[in-house]
Amino acid sequence: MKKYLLVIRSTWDEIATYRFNFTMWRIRNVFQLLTIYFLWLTVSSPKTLVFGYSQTDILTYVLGAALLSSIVLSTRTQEIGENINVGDLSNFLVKPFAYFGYWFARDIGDKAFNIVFAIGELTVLYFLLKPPIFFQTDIQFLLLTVLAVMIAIFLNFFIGCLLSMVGFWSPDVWAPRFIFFVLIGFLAGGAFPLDIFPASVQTIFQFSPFSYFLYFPLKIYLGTLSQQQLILGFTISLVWVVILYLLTQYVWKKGLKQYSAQGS
Amino acid sequence: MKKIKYYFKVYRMLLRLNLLKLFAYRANFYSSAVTHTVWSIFLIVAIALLTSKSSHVFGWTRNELLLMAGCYTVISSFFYFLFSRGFTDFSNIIHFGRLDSILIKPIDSQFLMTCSHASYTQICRFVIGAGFIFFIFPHTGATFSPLLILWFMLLTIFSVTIMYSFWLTLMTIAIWFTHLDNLKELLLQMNQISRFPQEMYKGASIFLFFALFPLTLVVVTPIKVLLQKASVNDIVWLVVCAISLFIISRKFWQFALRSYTSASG
Repeated sequence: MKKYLLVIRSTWDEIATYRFNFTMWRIRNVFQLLTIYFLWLTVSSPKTLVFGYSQTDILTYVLGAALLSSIVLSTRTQEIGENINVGDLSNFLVKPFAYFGYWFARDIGDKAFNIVFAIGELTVLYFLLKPPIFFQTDIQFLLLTVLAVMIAIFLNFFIGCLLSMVGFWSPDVWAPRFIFFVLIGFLAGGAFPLDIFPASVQTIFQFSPFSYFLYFPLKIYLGTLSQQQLILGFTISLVWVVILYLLTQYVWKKGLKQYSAQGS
Repeated sequence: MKKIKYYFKVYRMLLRLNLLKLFAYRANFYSSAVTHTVWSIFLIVAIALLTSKSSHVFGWTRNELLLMAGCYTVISSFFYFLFSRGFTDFSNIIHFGRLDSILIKPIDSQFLMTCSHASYTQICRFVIGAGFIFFIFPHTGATFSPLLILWFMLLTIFSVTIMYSFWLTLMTIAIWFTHLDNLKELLLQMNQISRFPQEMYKGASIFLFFALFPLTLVVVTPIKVLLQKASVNDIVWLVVCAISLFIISRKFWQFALRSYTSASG
């Protein structure tokens, strides 16, 4: 455990070394947040419902989605693909730690740094803009939201690893990852709540892992899911965590047989 | 005049070299083409969904906003075709000290840094955007004329100049602060500002609104011309912003070069 804590610490040191680069990333997130906020503020109205949501609920949803995106979707797993392509993976294979454990620790370090800054920025923006947003006070819903976010982090981590392991078979690891992130905007409910789509499409979303990235945790936070929906949602998402874990292990073993340690 | 001809000749050769590279790495081309196609469709569908419940937003009709999404796709495809690859490498070239070899070449360093790569896969983005414009334009109630298209193309040059100047000015910071990969992410996000009408940002602080003002002109002014709603002021603002920002970015690059230490990161 101690070695993984050291990995988290070294990730923080790395971010702190390139402070200006990290600042640019945070400014980018603030820009994104402001664009989304002003867009939905104008589209929605305090008196009418938009897609069945009140202005308070929709603003809470879209701002929450922007915040959760920076927590759930931030990852270092793209470096796995680069590692494989340039042959740096060989260095990791001889080190005394689990390869995916190392990358998960990197992810945690990265997310922790981002969460601290995101909370600071949101607090400042809240006092500046005073947006009409909903604060969940029920501790049960808050705890369930945290649990759903943790599941989402695992889902994103395993999918990130799988996308990067394309590097065992192809030098082009960027394109599948980019397509994934474009699709996730829709399928995870990052751009819109998924319940604006027809019921048949919603059923498909419900059984895919993507709706558990952002939509499910946010709906729990808003307190709009029934007990039955909660049980079903947690069951499906946990089944996906197991499936993706097993798939990651299988692809890793197959990929290592293919790996020739070539590169610079 | 002789110098301009020389630069055109060099640029033609660079475009040809890029094309040869594209044929050499075809798998990369196909995957990038799919990526840009999916992204372009996503941008248009997002606006279609967002405006599905309202006929007017920010004083623009739904079809006008959809036209804006199409025009953004076309204008940004020009910008990304000409400069995105150059700007992608920008920070790394400085970080690893490779700018040295560019500075000693008998050609303008800014030209080589920003114009030596073309992204041919942006053609997919252009085709989708242009196709969508032709589809949605008749629904806006305006009428097409060759003169309007010419005006649109002319103003697109100024719009791309604004985007280029913004990118160059901010990317130049990499001379002082190396390893700035995230600057590109910030600029990509800033480009998105031009997807929406100016009215949307009026709720933001005055400082933010004026800082972003040139970007809000990038798509809005050419569209206003297409819809025959542009005033002389709109066009003058776009042209003045484009020329002044280009001069500022050029001067800033030349000033920054004096601080370049050539040390590799």
